[in-house]
Amino acid sequence: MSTYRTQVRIVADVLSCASHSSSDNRGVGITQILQKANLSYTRLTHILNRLVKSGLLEQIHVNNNNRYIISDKGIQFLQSYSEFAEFAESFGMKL
Amino acid sequence: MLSQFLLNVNYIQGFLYLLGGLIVFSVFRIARKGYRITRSPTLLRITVSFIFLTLGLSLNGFTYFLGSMDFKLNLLGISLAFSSLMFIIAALLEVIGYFILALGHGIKSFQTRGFSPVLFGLISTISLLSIIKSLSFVFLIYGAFETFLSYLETKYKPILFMFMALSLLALGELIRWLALFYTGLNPLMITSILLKLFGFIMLYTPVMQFTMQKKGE
Repeated sequence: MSTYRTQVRIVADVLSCASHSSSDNRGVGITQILQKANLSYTRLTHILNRLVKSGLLEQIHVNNNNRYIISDKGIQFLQSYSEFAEFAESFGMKL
Repeated sequence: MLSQFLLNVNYIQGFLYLLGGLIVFSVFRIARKGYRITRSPTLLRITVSFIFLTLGLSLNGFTYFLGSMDFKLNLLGISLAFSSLMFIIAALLEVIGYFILALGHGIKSFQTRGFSPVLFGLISTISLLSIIKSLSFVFLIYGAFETFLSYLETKYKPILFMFMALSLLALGELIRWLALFYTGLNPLMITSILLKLFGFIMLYTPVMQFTMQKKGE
């Protein structure tokens, strides 16, 4: 049986997707994130807006398209997330 | 004089509970830091659970030391020794802590395996303290059982340490009940103290692992 993803896990999935695809500094498009993070368009745009506002993602415009790059704060968050995910895993729980 | 002090079962138990309090406090600190960063409900449950455990174990430890200066209280017409009241409060705090920890596993099980019944043992003891302690034992057993199931699913080795920690604490608690049939520092009491000590040390593994990971960066 599949597990429900928590909000923090979804955020980590979106950030991880942005971090993998933004190594060339051109950012990642919304379609790519949609495919990798497995979310609906409405939900994803809502999450992306929140992440940009909180400074975890940076929004750039390339050829009239919105693209997203993970910020330093976002990279730090992802690092902390994986450390604490491992910590919770030691208790047999998932973040 | 010193040997008498060291062999006093109350002081040994007091030290053990204070050590346990210190260990669970370090778990609480990491979980709280994690919750502040990630806002994860799992870390919130671990944080709240370990606050209660820290308070419960510390209060238990201090009460063992204060035992010699005990006095009677009159609460609503009931005469009660101060230390007994403190032990009841400490046991309540501990049971809440273990309950929240078991609840975390319960929520996870509900999400992954559908409904998973929590087995509540038969409560045969009559005193309030024993009833509360038996609840602690049930939650510990349930936590250990769920932790072992998590290990079977993920094969992640640190989970085994947590399973051993919870099992040793539960076994220590069980043997402590049996030890109550004897007076003074008997072999059963020593076994119970040693089991709990190893349990608390095992409980420290996630903290050690987290600290080592931080140092490695």
